[in-house]
Amino acid sequence: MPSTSLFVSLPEHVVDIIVSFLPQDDVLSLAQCNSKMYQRCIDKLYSKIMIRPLAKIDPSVESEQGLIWSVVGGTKHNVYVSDNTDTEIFKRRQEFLLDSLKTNAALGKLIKDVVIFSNENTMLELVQWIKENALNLESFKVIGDSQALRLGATDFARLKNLKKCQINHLTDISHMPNGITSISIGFMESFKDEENHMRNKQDCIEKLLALDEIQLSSDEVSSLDFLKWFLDDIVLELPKLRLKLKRIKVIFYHGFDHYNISLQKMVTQFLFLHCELSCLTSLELIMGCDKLGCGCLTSFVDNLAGYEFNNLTNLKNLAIVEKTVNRDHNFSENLDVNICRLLTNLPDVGENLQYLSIRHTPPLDGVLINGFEGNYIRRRNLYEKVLPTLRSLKVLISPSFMQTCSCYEVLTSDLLWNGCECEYCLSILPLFDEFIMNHSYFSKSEGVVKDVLSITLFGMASSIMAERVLSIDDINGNESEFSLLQYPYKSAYWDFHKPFSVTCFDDYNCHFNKSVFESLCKVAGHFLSDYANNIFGILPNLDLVCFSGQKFYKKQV
Amino acid sequence: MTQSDMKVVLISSDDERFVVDRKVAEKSLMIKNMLKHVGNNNNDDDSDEEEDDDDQNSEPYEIPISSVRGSVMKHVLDWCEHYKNVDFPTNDDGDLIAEHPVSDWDKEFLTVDQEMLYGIILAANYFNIKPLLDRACQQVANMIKGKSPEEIRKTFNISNDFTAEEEAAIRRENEWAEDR
Repeated sequence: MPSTSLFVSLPEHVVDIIVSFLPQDDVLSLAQCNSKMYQRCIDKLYSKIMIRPLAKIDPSVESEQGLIWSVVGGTKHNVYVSDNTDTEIFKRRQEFLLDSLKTNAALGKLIKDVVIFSNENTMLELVQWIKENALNLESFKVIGDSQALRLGATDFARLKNLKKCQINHLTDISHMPNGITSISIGFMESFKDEENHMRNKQDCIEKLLALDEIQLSSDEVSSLDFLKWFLDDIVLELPKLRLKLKRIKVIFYHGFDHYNISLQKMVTQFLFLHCELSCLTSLELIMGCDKLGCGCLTSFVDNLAGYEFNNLTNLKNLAIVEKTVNRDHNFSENLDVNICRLLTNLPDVGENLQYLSIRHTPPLDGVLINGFEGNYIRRRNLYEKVLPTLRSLKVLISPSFMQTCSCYEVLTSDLLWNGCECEYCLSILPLFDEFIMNHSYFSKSEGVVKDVLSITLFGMASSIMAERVLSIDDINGNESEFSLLQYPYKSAYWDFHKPFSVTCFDDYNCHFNKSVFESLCKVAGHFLSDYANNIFGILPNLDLVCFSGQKFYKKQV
Repeated sequence: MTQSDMKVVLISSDDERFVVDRKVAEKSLMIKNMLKHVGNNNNDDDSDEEEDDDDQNSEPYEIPISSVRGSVMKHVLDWCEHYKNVDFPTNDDGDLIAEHPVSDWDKEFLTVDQEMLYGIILAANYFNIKPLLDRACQQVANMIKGKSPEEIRKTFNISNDFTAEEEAAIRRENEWAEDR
């Protein structure tokens, strides 16, 4: 038995590393061991706080994850806990945290990063306390459109250590402290005090020039507001302004009837004329074109990849999110062609690109127009040709992969009736066969009740699987796709009925609930692992593949 | 003599000598920095005479490591040998992945008694071998997971310096974070 001093006398930064590998519960247990451990654990526990309704997933599902963020959430480890109880626990946890912070104000000084996935049950008083008293706060982010939770001008004046923040009003730019290096444009409010703002133009320019990162809003109107101000006011003041940003998120979308043509033009102007693209290491694009036969995506990606402005010569991380209102294979294939065109033409892509994330937005019920087998094969062939050129790729993510596969019936039918033959799948798959034989659902797009098919089952299930990391709602709520691997998994489970209006046949005694969902995830995981292994085979440097919330690691050395 | 041929001799606190390839020794950033100006004959015009002599005589470069004993050094060098051809990612542009799983080989390698494990941690810390430090710390974390405070104290021989009231206050203070 080692002497007491061996563990306790480890250097503080080593104890911090050990604590970083512990899940939240174990950090709490270690904190109660003695005073030295208490201090190290409390520092960690309060440093990064995430407030969200869903708890972290059961550690047995995600066993390797340590304390990335301390989550103030509900509890869903027990899938039989009702939604009401879960909400109540979420509320009580927020109250307990607020009580602790009020009782021991020193704890508030430990808080450095806060992320809030806003919800009607988010406790305003807690967030307000953090904004007023957590003076060492370095980043503060609200996912969703809750205005009351955001930082305002008075908060900016108080929080001198902020490095990352959201901008919800143009005046925020002149109010934000000087050390800010990253801004994300949230849901913008209207120009209430434009005159005041105009007086601070020079100050704004200096603050914009100090930035490493700008994330434009997923919300088109908010992006438009910001870019209009940037191009009309700031660029007018300094026409040759070129921002040396390392990370950018933009939206490039051609909507129905060209309603958003102004935003498209402004985005290209912002990117190509006022950003030093050779400085960019991370690029996040929300893109799509809802007009078949239009070449706007092609021109955009050609300009991005082109050498005309010495573009994207240092791009390491690329994330693309599909934006479309169509439920048609042809629109998604058009996007894929242009993604592959971009990947093929990016300068030194084989040496530079290390992280690639592609998220499609397929229909939840799997009913995709033109979802024929041949069309699936064409999309697959496209990526099979392009992916091997990404020789340095270490991480490949597709949060919608399973959902996309679910749009092609040949794949889901194969999975259900002719798929994995391991003992587990052989025993579980017949359950899901029984499920589709005894359930129907209301198709919102068609306005009729339809039988559940294999595409419906796996389409709906995979959308919940993807929620375990980041859902499309989170992305639309202005979260970055690059956060996907940085957050703890959410305990998202599907009860096989809500929220997709799935109903049982009258004479069927249904036993499907959340407790069955983990089994479905497991059989889906077996299906996905074939794809992942195939990709590991063609990309020697790839370490991690994440498909629909399921992670696959290359066998380590 | 090329850099890759060069041998380095590490001398432990109990005077054990370990002759290893430079490439292996350089998994340690501390040694890598130390050897920066040693090696290629034509690289450094400003290198001192002593280093030039080392090159010409092709003698292994000796580094005394007074804070690491031989048994621990052997373990650390075995790890460096195993990973000599692996480039571990640097964290220069922000790590987008929060989780790096431990390989089966590492798990087996780090299945040692506590005294040796702390020795490896302190040596990895001294030598500045971040991947080894992380993996060894993860091994310690695995020994903590799922245990009650009392069980942790017992496992690591930690003496409890809290009163019963203080313990209760800590539990109350952090009740919000209980994730069971």
